[in-house]
Amino acid sequence: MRLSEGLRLRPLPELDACLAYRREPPALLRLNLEAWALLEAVDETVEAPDQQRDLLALLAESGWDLSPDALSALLAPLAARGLVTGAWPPHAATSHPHDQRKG
Amino acid sequence: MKDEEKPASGLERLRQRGRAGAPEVDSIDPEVRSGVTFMLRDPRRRGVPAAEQEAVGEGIEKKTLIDAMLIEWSYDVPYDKTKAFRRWLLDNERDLAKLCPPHVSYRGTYAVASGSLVQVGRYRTIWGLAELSGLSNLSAGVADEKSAFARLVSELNGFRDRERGAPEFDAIMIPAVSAHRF
Repeated sequence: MRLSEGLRLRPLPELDACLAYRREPPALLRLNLEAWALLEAVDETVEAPDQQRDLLALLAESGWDLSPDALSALLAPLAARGLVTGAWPPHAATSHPHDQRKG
Repeated sequence: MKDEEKPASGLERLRQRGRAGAPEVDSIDPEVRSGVTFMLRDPRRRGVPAAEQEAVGEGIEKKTLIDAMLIEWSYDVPYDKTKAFRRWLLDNERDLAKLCPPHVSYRGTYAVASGSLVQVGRYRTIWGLAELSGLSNLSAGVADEKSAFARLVSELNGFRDRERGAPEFDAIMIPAVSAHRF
């Protein structure tokens, strides 16, 4: 999964939010902290396995269901708004994504 | 936490907060408006078509227009000050009108008896400008702290609701017959 082509992000840490400009079709969107963090964590173009692991750990601590279906549901708002493209690796919920790439 | 200490990473910020809610994405539909849609100019000076100058001059003479230009102060007065405000106007409005700088005239303070008050408050103070120089004269007159005019304007404005978010709106208006959009 990766950020949509031309997507531009403007973090607003003071507001625990992030603004996103989507190029096609043009739109300005406001992401809450959870959506912002998800966006960072699922971007495969950034070599950030630690981020993905941290996010999943945090979600688990918060009582979230980390099954592949549940994670897909979490990512649905981002995909529906055209912020991300591609699929979230279903194995990410149970193992380290960096290890998967090595295999 | 101070703003400068907040990380520009959503994940890091979320980790600091220590709990996660549901991800949400909302659309922002910006509405861009410009407050400057008409050229501010003296409607009776060079560059304004003769017909417009005549219309404005005649309108002022026959009192169909209040003045060549108007300044409108819109504001609220806290409820517990309204009685004192009315008393102040009774005692001082005449002097305020007499002491206006050249090309400036005090056109009264009005209370909105009916209409939408949320954005602009319940009171309007209207100033007339006979020509553009009146704008500078009014600014200078208000800034001259030793003058009786400045003292009165300061007292008048002292009744304004200055609380954060209190309704307040100021405008400069010109006759529509001489208003060219740009």
